[in-house]
Amino acid sequence: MYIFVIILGKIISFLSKLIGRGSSLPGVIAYKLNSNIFSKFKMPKYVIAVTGSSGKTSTSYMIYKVLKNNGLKIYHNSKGSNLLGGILTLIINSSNIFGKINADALVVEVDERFTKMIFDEIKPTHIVLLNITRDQPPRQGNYKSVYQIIKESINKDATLIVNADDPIVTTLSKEFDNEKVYFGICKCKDSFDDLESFALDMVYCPKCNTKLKYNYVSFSNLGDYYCPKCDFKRPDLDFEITSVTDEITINNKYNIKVKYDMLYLYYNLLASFTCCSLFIDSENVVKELNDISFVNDRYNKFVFDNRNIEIINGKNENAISYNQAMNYIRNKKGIKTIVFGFEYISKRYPYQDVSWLYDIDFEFITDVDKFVCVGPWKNDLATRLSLFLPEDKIITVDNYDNLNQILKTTKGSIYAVLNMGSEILFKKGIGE
Amino acid sequence: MKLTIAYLYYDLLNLCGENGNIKVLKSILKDKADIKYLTIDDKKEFEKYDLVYIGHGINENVKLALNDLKKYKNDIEKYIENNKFFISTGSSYEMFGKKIDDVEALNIFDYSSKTFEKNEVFEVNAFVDDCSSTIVGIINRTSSNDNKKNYFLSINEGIKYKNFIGTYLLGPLLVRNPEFLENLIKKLTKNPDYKLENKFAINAYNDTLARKKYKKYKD
Repeated sequence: MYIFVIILGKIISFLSKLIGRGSSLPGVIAYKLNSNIFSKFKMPKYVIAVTGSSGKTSTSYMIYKVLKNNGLKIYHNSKGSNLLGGILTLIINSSNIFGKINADALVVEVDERFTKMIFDEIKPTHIVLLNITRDQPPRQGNYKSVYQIIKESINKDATLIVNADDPIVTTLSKEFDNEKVYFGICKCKDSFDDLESFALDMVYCPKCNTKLKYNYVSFSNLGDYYCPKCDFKRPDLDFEITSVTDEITINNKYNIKVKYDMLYLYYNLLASFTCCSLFIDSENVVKELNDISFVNDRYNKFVFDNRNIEIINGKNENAISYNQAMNYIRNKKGIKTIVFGFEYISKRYPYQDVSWLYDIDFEFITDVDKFVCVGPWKNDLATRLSLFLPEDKIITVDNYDNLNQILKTTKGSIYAVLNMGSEILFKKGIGE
Repeated sequence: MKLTIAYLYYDLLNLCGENGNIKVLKSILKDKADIKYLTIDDKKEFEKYDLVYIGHGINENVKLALNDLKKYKNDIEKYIENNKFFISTGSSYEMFGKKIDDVEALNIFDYSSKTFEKNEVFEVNAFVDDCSSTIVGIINRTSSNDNKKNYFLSINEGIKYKNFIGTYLLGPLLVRNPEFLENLIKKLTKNPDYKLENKFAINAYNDTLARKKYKKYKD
């Protein structure tokens, strides 16, 4: 019977690829036909799962690429289909009709809210825990509920690869006796002395409820924290970014060139490096990462009309990715014109909640000439900005159509913080 | 006269952009208000405050804050009875009831709260009990209570007693509701002629009301 389901899954997969919907539909159907289907597959020796609130897609892609280019046979849910259906589709496509997956490893990105269901089925041998942060309220409930879900899903024999700079995933990892590998970032040019933002999750010690202190903060609540009262602190790092210049150096030895200095890129690279180093020689990891870190669709830079334009695309409509973008802009010198737009708040949820706009630390950006708010949420965004910017520095527009005219009235370098997909509209709007 | 605003547990109960409420008060009142950011173990002097604000947080943090706030039960009761302004949004308003699950709460109002497994989300567009304004906002909670005072007319939610307002609505409630904010500022500053001039906030509020999916909530 299960052979039939696998064959059918493969047929559906073939057909749905033709109509461009191949990434999760076959898995969804196969699971409906037989909810025990996962147990019929023989998994490869290694199953690497990457989860967390942000960075999953890039990190899992980098791990996949590095291992694959080093001669390992790897399957990966590269289209970001990170729910049960998507992962089952991957498995159906990777296996023969008897359910055997002929590969060295599966590398799967797993949605952090569905780890329980998925880990139970795929039984990862390695789990990369990137971070847990607040998300849009309707999507997530709260970060503590995500913590609880991941906690219930971790299998005892999996190696945990943990972002030690994040006190939340670190606390989570300490609840387990599993083998653990910790990674983190040293104090560098962009570090802060202390917590800055108000919008922080878990700034109190999980053991004794004392407010945590930091030797330095890398970003948000990530950094070198310790409890002034008890022994809770950032664990010793197995893999550390030991210096940051125009390249990052890991463990004083391995250099990776970075195209743009955005902190989430460092964390994603470091997580990938750490994970891959458990399988292959670090020298070979670094070689591959140097090649692929240049491929990035989140960032674009060009000169137009004698002005520097930098485009930073956010994927999630939540504070985390936007805060990283704002942090990046904040570190740039000179007069700035910022274009900020998004077409929808969430693709999956019908709510029009904008509370997360207030968790973005716009206030730290100085030397703003104009802030251009674009799209159906222009007034909500402008309201947020009006709490610290004078009204005449804020421009609201419905769409990108006359952006060129508007930008002519502004000064300085242009930073466009956009949604994935609106980059085309932006470029059309400026007439490029 | 300078106003004193206390933002309590700013680092524990601030899960969904609640700090926006303080930012908007600051941007309007400027040097007419002194804002105190206080958390557990900080000394609270309720007799000195004109407005107290507490926001939404995870249940564990509510319990931490409650433990601290219990020391001030009498002060808080006196503060509320004296018609001073108190706004408690999201899960924090559970602290003023009798119980949160099995934990004794402040027992100032007559309701008890219980935690449940899955979170519950709904958007709100409702008249408040004096019909002075329509409140928009969102609720996302993992617990609820049996409060029957119903500050909001069209939904079973919220409490108003004298100038104490408690509601599960979360986030930057004051920013999203300019009419409500204007009324609050009028009363706080004792200036009945005050007009809120933030055109963006007013436009955003109108956008919210105009959006299609809100229409179905209307009576």
